[in-house]
Amino acid sequence: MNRIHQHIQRISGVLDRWVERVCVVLMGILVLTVWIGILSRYVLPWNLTFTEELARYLMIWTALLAVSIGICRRQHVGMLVIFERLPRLVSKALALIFDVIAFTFFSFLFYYGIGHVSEGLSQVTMIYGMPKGYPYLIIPLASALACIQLLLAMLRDLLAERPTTAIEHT
Amino acid sequence: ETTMRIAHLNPPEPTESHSGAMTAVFKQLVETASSGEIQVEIYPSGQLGEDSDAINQVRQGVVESSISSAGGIAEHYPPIGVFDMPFAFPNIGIATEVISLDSEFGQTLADDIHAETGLKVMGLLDSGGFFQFTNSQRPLTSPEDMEGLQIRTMTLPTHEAMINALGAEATPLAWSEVYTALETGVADGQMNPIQQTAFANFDEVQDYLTISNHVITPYVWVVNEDFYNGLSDEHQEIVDWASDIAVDAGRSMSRIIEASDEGLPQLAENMEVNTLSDEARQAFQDAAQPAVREVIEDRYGEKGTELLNAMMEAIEEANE
Amino acid sequence: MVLVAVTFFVLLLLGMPVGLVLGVAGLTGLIDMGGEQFLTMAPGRFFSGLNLFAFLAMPFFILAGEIMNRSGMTLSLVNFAQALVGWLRGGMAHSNMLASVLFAGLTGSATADAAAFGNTFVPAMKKAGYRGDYACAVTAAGSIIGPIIPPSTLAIIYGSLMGVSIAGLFAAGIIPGLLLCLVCMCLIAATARRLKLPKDDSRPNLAHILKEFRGSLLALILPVFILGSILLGFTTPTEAAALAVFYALFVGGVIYRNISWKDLYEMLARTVLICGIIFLIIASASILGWWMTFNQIPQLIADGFLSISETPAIVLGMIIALLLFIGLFMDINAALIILAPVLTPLTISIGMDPVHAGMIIILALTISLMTPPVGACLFVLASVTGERIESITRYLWPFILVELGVLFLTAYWEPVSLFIPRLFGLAG
Ligand code: NA
Ligand code: NA
Repeated sequence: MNRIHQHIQRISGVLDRWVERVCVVLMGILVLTVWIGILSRYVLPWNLTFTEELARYLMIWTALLAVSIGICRRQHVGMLVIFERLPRLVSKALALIFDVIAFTFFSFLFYYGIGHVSEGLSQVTMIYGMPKGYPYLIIPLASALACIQLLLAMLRDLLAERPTTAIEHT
Repeated sequence: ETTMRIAHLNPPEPTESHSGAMTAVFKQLVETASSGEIQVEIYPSGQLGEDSDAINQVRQGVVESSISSAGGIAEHYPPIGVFDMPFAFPNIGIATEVISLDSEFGQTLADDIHAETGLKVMGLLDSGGFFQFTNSQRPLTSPEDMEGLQIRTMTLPTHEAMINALGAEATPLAWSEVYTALETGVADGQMNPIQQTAFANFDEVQDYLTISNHVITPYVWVVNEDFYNGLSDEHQEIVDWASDIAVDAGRSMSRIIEASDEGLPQLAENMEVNTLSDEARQAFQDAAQPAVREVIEDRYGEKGTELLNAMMEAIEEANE
Repeated sequence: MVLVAVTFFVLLLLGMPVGLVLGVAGLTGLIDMGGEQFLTMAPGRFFSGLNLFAFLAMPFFILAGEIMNRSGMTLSLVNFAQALVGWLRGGMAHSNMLASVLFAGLTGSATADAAAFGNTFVPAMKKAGYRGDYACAVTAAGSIIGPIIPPSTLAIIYGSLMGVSIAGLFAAGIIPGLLLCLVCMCLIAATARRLKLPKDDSRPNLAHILKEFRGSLLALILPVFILGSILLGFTTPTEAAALAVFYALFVGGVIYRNISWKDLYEMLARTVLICGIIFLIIASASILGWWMTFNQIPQLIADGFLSISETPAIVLGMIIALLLFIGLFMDINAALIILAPVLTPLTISIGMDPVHAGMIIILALTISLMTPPVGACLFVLASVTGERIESITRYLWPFILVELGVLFLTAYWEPVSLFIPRLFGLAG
């Protein structure tokens, strides 16, 4: 049991760190994009007009990818008044139910998100005429990551010697 | 009993926007003519989502109908961008004649939108008059006056190309930022129809209004095809004539708003207004048209070029 | 409708994360409506709920706050505030409120303010011996001054949505904004002894104040820098948040030289995580918000209220109650977009000035930003600081009460909002 638990812990951790790295890079690019957008109006000799739209998409990508980080670390905000006063076993079961519901929610977003992407491929954004499906890709991608991390977190908490609550931080 | 939901972007009151007028008239006509068998529900102010989203919802059959701007349609049917050809329409009379389902060009456009997106076009009208320039620096009397001005545009290559070709600098900003940007000077000016400029209170932060009549874009009223086909012949007929009347009401409301306290008179109170002379207009046109034509041909390909030529011909014909 | 309400409240109260509760409740509503076409559009709502340029201010101010903390700029600010009012009992709570007003002149969004202060003032107050949850409560109460004192994103959205003078709305917010600060400071002073708020033994000392002023000069310049970049027309308010990051990074990295690459990575990582938590809530709320709009629930509620009375004073009271009630459960931007067109004609029909009415709507919705269960400022603070919503709430409700007092004063005594606009001829 213990070995499996460690294994799950490790997989979840590695995935989490890689997603975090990607997010940090995207966030860095986001900051630079807005800086360059400001500069291009005053300092640079050319006028860059795509920065507004690019910044929006970068922000959405970064934030939605980070949803899985929050899941892995159980950082999403909730109201724990009642939860923490429940008997250990009940709260553990409840945490499991929440994870199953969340898993269903993200599976749903994943499935219909793919449909949304393929629909988006026939639409174009204002800049460049890029198909809208590309930015929409984040929905199935982020949902899939969320599902994986939920599954790992669920197993991790089930196998843990000491049961943990669903949300450690509020 | 059938429910027909119509989403639009403008304020709900019939006297405050053309969409408000259209939906109010349409609802009244359809509900009475069908003895209440068709119920019309209106979702104004972009409540159900931004422009392109609302069209998506019509395509998916979540909402039955939407009255959409060219910007929203462009994401589903890019060639609509040919309307961004500056100084193409000489006056509102000709624009009204061409941007209509009653014109041959309008019908061609509607059929093509239908073929490409599966959306049936119920109505075609102008978005509320010509785009006009406002700015905080000087009255615009010749292209030289544009020199060095930062003009806010939508993130739209055709508009950017036009502004840059005129010697000013296009500054694309999100709509929510435009007011403060004009107030603080991030942008010197902007371009919008009179209604929109008055509605956003840009006269509080701009000093000069130039009646340039440079661009006029369409509003397209679309309906879900399956919904329309599912109506009985009798109901289809009601919806058809009611939408025609409603579009007429919408067009008239645009002209009324422009002329009312909420339109040009309000702007004229706070801004110096000038109209481009014919020579100046020609100079603007010569400077701007080639650059925009290039963008249109480049972005929308053969189809766009064809549509553009058809539009220019239709204008020519109407002009004669 | 009942199904969605039950799903929402049961899951929320049992402790499921809010971002998921909103999404699941919205999804339940879509499924309940029947028909796959409703399901296919949920991902679109999820995406476009975030697709707003103005939201960018949030990650940037969170990041700027992170950098200011790590570089010691925050600490220097805190020391200066301490030197100014630290000799009072609860001095830092007072300076938090004062700083909120200063900051309100820079940003238009309460959540951005909450993020920045949660990241700067709350840790500093904890260090000085305040309870973290109390510090959060003060910060939440102060953060809502942000959208009241101009510039204000909400005023811009409302003004352009309803065709009301934005300059008028800006001017109308000045007195109510200052009043919010005043009543909160009175509350802090009145309860300082009972709550045993920290107080140092120092006496006010001019030499000390000057020394701390010099020490915090670089941090004090930040608001000037941001405000300057906006007022001089160099950036828009949203872009100014990105400049704040630049400034903080410049001071920390080049002048103080105490930020390493590793620090930078960690700060970015924390910012990203906080954004993930907040943006999940916004995205999910937009699914539920769409379901509510489609079923015309806000209108149903409004109609219900209005069947009760048509006396202006009572209608106004009910409008406020409705705004506060809807604000309990709904994202503020969604609530504004849905309710403004319903309520504004109503306020006109009872003879209210549109600027006055707009100010009340904005003020009421903003107060709901810090009320549980769905209070975005509260969520932001909780996720930035790690404090618990319930314990923050315990210290927050007195602040909510006095701020409601300001709301009612503004609502029933016109000059509070209209005095300044009238001075400039911006209201009738
Ligand atoms: Na503000
Ligand atoms: Na709330």
